[in-house]
Amino acid sequence: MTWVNAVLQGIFLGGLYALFACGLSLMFGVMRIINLAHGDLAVLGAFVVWWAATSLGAPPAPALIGALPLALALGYLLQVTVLTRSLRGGELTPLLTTFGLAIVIQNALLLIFSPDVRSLATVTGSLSTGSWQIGGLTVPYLGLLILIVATGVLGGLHLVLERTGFGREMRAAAQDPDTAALVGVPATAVYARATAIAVATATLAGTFLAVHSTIDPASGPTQLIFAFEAVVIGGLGSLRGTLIGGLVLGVAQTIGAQIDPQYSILAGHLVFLIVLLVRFSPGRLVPAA
Amino acid sequence: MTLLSLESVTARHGLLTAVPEMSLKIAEGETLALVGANGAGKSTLLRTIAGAHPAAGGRILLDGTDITARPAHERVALGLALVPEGRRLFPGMTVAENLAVAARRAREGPWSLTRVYDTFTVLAGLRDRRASELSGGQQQLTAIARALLTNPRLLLIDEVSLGLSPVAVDAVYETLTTLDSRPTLLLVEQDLSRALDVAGRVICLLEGRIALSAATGDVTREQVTEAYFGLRGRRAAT
Amino acid sequence: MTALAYRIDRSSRASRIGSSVLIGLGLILATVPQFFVATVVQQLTSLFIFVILAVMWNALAGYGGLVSVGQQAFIGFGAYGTVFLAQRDVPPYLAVLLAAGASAVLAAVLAPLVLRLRGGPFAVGTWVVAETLALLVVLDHSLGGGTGVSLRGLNVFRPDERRAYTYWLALAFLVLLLGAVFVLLRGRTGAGLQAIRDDQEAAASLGVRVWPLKAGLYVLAGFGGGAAGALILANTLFIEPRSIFGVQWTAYMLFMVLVGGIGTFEGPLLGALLFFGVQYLFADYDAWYLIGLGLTAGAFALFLPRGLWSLVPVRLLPVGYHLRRDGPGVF
Repeated sequence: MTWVNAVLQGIFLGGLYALFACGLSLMFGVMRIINLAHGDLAVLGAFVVWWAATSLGAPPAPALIGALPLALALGYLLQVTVLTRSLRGGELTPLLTTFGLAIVIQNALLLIFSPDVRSLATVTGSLSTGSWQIGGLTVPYLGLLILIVATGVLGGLHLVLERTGFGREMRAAAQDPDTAALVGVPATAVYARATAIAVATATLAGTFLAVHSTIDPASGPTQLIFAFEAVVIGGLGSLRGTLIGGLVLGVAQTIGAQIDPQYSILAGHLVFLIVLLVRFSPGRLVPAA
Repeated sequence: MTLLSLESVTARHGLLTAVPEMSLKIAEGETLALVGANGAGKSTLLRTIAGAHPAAGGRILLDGTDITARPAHERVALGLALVPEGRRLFPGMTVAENLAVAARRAREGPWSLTRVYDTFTVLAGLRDRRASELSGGQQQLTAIARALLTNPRLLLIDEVSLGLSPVAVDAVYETLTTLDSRPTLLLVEQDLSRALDVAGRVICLLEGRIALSAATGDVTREQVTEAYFGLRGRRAAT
Repeated sequence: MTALAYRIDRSSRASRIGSSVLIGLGLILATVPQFFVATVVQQLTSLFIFVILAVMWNALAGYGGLVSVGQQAFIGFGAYGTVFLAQRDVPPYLAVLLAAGASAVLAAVLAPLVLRLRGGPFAVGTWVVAETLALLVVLDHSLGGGTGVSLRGLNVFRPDERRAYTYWLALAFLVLLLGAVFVLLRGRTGAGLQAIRDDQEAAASLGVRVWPLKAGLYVLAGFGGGAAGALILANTLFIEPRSIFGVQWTAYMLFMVLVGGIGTFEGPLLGALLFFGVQYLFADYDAWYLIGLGLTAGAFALFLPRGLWSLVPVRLLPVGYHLRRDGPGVF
């Protein structure tokens, strides 16, 4: 039963990773770039929510809802000011600039919020600690909430991409930006929308992380790595795959932790490396079917 | 009335000048065929007009508006559309989706999705087929329909028949020539007979310069062929 | 038409003088431990290590188009490999050499795995590898676990001897690796690498053997990273996993290479010198210093992608090709 429970907890944890991975996957799918500042943007968003909840005394949910439009705006601005230009520099430039951005965000957070570890668990009460016990299995309120939100966000975004004009434009710009422009689609603006959505979902994920456990200014890189692992395990470039990848990563970590708490993160890395070995043929970006 | 005018437009590929100081006027309603050997600068010229390739000099005016510095998507909004060489459909999307992308930001005009499916009856049956699964002819028809959906005043078609089977070429020209509310057309065509059949005026490019420009009724096939291979000397028609 | 008379030169006057100056400089640097105080020797050793890191990262990113965020895997592996061997009574300096070699072997083992990825996925993939190694080291209590470990065995030497030996070893590694990159660039591989960076598919279709070249660079960079890690340990005598496997190394390498000039031979040398000065002046400001590093690196990537060296009109070393017109050509 403890193993079944470990798998179940892994699925809940995986929901959080899938939510982190959502924006990374979207930006990679649309622009073929990996935003190395993705984890730090998530932590930045979480700090804003934490600050609003503790210093302004706002309840966490409205604080989060207030932060989301800011995150959308930040993502849009990031794209039009920095990323559009770096996309013109070739495949490597976005990596170099987003890595620089990651360092800037981490250290700015350090200056503003100090290196102290923060959590939203103190202001969310039973949501972060409570759970149902069902036949020996534990279903935490928060884990279930995160899983529902993650499924909703990734599934919803998938439907938007498949079924709406907004999504079709994004797919068209992703497949062939030059031709998209020739049928009237402004690729720059479409890309900016993708980054806006990515930063908003990252803020959502960061905030859930702060409720679930803790954040500090140096939390970003770890979350970027988990998000990236989820994206690769899920097969790069599909949101459905990313959701599954997140869940697989979560389960790998909780099963590893069940063996020995020290093996938790290591188990996730190993699953990632195994997927790399098995599913990616040399020199290809997309896994062999 | 002049719809498009090029004033000393230059286009380069790196250090190579593909189109040197080209001047050209296209009147509203005309059908113009652009012919010339490979590397004559036809595609570059079309891409420069559409905004897919930057002009290194000169001015491009659409109905009097200077569009030289406008990005491609804004030129579409002003009434320019290009069917690029190789069709360039969005490969992972269905025919219907390819068309819907263009229809979303279309100008006001005669073309709508319904009308496109009525006119291009073949496409109606292929709606849910992925673009990458279509034959060359079907792709070309989809690409033309997609461009028409933006309701262009000037439609540029690059390499109308390249890579298509003879039957498919017939079908594409059949559609083009019988089109109701046809926009002004500038097409690049390798096949001289086709070009002379369909167009009212023919322009032959040689090394980026206009070697011949004449109404199709006023020239013989031989004259165009001479210009095509540069047999009449370069300066004859500029 | 008159046939054009062209001649291709591998060197220019400036580059011939430049190489002589560099060789002379190397000989002078070799005598430093005889004449200077301990801090100078130790500081110069760190500078050499930074130059090695910059040159290796540039070889990967600048020549191979492989932006790695995980070269700290080899830095850490080289350092911990040295500790591991020294614990088994291998003489410490021999352990440094062996650990660098072992890092190359590790890179050769990892290459088939990480080179499946390109671009962004490659960058983060290498980072995962580094994190995995760090976690494995933390699990091993004989290597000090998470708290760190000292290098024993060097206390058989007098401190000034030890500093001098470490210094010479660092200088020797630096000369060796610079020589390796130089040879790589001058030969056929240089042109092949350039082609890969411009367009991998096109290069492959022209017969450039993409995979061996990339794997070769990755192994070279693994060797250099391992050497740097082992030297860091020999220079400071203590390491702990969080910092030796830390991603800050990538931040430093990125800064040095981008500011100096990515894809140039001389740029990383210039970048390392600048970084060394910047660190000396500003490292006390900590967070602000790092913000400055991040902003500078980002700004260079966007606005001066070929770095400061692109502003210098002379080429120090004969690595490029110079096309000269011999006779009176007619266009």
